[in-house]
Amino acid sequence: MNIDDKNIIILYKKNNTKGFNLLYQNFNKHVYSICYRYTNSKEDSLDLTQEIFIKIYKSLNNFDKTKRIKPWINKITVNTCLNHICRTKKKKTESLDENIINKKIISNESTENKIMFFDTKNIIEEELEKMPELVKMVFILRHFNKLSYSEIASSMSLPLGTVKTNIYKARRILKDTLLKKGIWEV
Amino acid sequence: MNCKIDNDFLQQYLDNTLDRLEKIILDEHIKKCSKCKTELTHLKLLMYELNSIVNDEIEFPTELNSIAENIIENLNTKNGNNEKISIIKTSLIFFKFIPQKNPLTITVQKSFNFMNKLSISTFNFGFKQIRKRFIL
Repeated sequence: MNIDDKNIIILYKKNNTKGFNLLYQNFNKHVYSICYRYTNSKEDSLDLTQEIFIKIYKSLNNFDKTKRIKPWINKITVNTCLNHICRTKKKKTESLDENIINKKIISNESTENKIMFFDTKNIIEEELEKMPELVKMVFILRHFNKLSYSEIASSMSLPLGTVKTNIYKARRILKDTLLKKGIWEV
Repeated sequence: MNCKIDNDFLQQYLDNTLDRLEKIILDEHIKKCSKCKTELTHLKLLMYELNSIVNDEIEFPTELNSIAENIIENLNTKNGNNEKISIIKTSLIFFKFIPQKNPLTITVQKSFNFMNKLSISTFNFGFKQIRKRFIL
């Protein structure tokens, strides 16, 4: 347990509200960014963040104080996101389309580099959408949230080998797609 | 050239997870194998693109600041309500042991059932009235 974790637990024991507020301040952006990368929707990400922190608040009393808080929060975040996606698969596709259109509108006003960047970003996001949910989540945690392989394995309750295989697979798919679309002039 | 180097091996090279000897072997191989060299370049380009996306910061909405407050408020209100209801239920247990129910006990029990259905503000008001009339 690191100093931040200890402070949160000590404060939570003295005063539930203050302890929870400190935990929220430390982790809300981390949780929101995972949700946002995963859903591509601001509204869904806010709902998910709220759902995740309700779960955290309700189970903070039973949290094993010898463990670190971040992996525990990662686990709750991953499970909540994966469950959510089953409920809102259809809605998610619609919002993604809107996002892509919005980004294309923005890109019209930008420089050539900016257009290329948004094109690449859109291709990567579209390709990630097609991947199985587990592969996508593993990839997001690794590349967008910079979690280590072992952190991902413990957050998702997967063997380390499976995590690596999924990331390698996702990278291969993305690399092949970007090559096919002619993004890189190599 | 018949190259037997696996793509995963190249990815481990990029992740810096190969041991020292494996790294030396691959370094030497890349000097001779154009296929692996190109593959490695593509993977490096992909990493560059992915880092650019990460650096394209997410905008955090202002609503995010109020989530913690809402959670605490909602859950505390729920817990508070449950506590109040359980206190009243406990305090009314003695009615069960009165041998013959008189009109007063029936009225109080009925009013409790009725109050249970009302919103918490009306509930509090009703509770105060009962305390004034029958208990205090």
